[in-house]
Amino acid sequence: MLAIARQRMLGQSFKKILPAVSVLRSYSSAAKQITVREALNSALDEEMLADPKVFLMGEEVGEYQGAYKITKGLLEKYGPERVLDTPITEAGFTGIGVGAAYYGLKPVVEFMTFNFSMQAIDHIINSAAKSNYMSAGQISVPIVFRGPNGAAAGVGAQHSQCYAAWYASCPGLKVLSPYNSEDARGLLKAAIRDPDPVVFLENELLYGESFPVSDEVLDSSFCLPIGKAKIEREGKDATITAFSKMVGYALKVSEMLEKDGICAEVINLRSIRPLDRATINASVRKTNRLITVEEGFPQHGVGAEICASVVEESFSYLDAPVERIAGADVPMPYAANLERMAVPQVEDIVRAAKRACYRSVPLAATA
Amino acid sequence: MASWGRRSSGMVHHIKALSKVELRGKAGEMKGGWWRYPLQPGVASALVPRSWPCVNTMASLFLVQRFKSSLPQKQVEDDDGDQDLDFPGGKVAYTSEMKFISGSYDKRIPCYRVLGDDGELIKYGSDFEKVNKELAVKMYSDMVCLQIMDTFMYEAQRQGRISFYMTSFGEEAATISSAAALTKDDIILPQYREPGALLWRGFTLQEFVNQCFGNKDDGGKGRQMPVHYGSSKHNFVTVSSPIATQLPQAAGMAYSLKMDKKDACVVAFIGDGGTSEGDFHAGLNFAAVMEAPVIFVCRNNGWAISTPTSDQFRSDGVVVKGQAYGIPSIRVDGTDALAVYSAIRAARSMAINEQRPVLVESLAYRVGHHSTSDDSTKYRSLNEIEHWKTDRDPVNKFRKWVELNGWWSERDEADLRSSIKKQLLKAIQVAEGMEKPPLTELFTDVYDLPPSNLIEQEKLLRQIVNKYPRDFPSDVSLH
Repeated sequence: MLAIARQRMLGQSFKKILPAVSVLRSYSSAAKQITVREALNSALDEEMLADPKVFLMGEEVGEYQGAYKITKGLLEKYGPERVLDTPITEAGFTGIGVGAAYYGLKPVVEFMTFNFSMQAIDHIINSAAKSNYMSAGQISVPIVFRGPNGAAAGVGAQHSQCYAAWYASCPGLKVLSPYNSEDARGLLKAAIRDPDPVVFLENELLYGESFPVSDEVLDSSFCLPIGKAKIEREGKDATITAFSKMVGYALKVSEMLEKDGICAEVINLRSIRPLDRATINASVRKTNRLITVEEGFPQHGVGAEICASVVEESFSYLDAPVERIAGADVPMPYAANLERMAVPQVEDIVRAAKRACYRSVPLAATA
Repeated sequence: MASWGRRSSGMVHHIKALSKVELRGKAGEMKGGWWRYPLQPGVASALVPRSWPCVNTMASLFLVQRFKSSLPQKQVEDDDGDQDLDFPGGKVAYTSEMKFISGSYDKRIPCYRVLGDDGELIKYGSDFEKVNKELAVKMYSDMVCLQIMDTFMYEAQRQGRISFYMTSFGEEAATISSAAALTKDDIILPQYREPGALLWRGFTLQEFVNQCFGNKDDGGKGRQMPVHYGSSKHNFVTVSSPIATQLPQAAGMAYSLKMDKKDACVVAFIGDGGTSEGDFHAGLNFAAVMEAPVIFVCRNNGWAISTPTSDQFRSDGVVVKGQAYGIPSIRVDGTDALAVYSAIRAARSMAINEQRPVLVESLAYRVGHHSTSDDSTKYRSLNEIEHWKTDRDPVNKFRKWVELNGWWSERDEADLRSSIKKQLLKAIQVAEGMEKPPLTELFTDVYDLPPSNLIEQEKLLRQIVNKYPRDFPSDVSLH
């Protein structure tokens, strides 16, 4: 299956990225491997333990243990007053969550997928995002909206859209998107502790993937800063920005490019709003070429904003036009062959990188 | 759906409870209706237990217990020829008569009132909460104040001094009496036509006017249109324009109050038009399921801008909708200050002591236009408006009662009105002449702490304003 193949590829790429130390030493410095699912579950558990005001809400989060098992075991541990199974009304329970946050509680609202958040988008934007501003600081909304975002596999148009660009365009919200287990733990904890409303975009296909984590990451006080991107791999010839699942693709791409003598720098955005423009621009000023990668629709996407930011601040450093890789500008088709062509593939990104480096690129589309 | 409002917690307790009630057959009757067992493949419904899942899973243990407890019940019922249907949600009697519940009503739910149009008590010693002189005089004074403020501010908009205004004519009693029946710890979530409630709680005329002018003393820092008041100090949540969003929020706040075990409730206002919104359904349904202490007050004023209630719903108004959600409801004369006061007092007591939502439908005609952007003579008759403005004015009605009690005189009336007018004119003068909020307030409160991009933008903006001062308004302070 695709997921297993990817995991194997990732495992291999990590071995290559780690510095050349003895096998024994690298084994002990990243001894534990946890899945993204375990990372999210442990983060929720620890934050609920630390702060009695934190509570969970969503469809199937309690007795079903979570539609994707992210909230497994939490109902049993904290009881039905803190893990609330809701009826099927996104607008309803989002509104209720916002109301609870107005009062001072810290709800973590789960959407079964962010596609369903559209039924609640008025409460997210007009009630959560804007309240602090419109009330002149009298009403703060320390709420977290989380759930899987973007394409899964074979679920069709109404289950596959990426909402990063939609939410990131709204001032008042913070938008985060983790890639690996470390990101998942650190960013979710940061989101729950943050006094502002946070949209936390996970990825269904990453839930089952394992990543190595250090002891520091496993500590209950671990937290990542909001608004800082991470340079997953340093390079000097081209900058590739990505978030969520595409970071894995970008890392794979950078290995493939290495063989062609292109040393790519991979930036894991982590935070879509606020966007870490400083890191992105510093990287482009170093490499002079930029390829943005995302799964979502191209128009008004995350890549569009990054491109504008780089053009505004680092225009004279660019040696080539910015390459944008995004999903196809169509609602996601269901048939497997069509779906594969509607999302970016590793080969598309490789071709884009080569175009940015003015290498000749075969015209044939993805096989 | 097991989790809302239960005192017990967790599956373990459910199983323990079941094993205790095996023979009493109470399996289907837990408070609040049915509960869900974990959805695992192969688990059959307890009602049709044809296949037995393997016994070594927790779910099947659950299932076995449930089946055991419902069986004796069913055997007893068999003797009566299956009179009752034991279904998720509770037992329901069968009938052989096919009968539809009528969608229309031959008798409408009656409207509770205490005072007649002449200001006299309808029935001496009738069912109402007594109000002493101090309370009555404050209620009356605030109603007059609201009426005068509305008159002046409407005029101010017409003169171009403020951009927008909404009056509460005809609904003064509905909002002020409601607030009078609450304590200062009860949280109010308004729609937008409840400044009366805020006035009752102590928001000053100057504060109201400052918000309308959006000046530097505005508690809202000039962020909102006029009449979008809010004050956390007065437990009055800032007005939010989208209709009915405050209803599920109210349920959430009430649930939080319940978790804190506070002696307080939430009061959410909505209009007749707002009951059409999806959030109305979600808010009321959820509040009922969560057993949250919230009072939903629907100000049915007959009109949603130009949409009459006959185009808004086909039910007997809003009061009957409460029953559909399992919520106790009452219809009250919104022009009768004493009736509203009594009803809200009773509703509050019910909400807090029984920890449940309550619905109050207040009938009080909207005498004014929807807002300054509306001319209601375009869609309703002048006669109708005039009738409600003069013959059915809530302020006049209440004054008659207060005077009958010997608590108010002509002199008091004259003094009050002239005092309010003077205060108001002064407030408007002060507010108008005041500077607008400083530039910094453009960028604060977007987030808890200002992010770097906004700090940069503010710096840049200041540079530009300093460089081209003539391109920018002179009444915006740069400090």
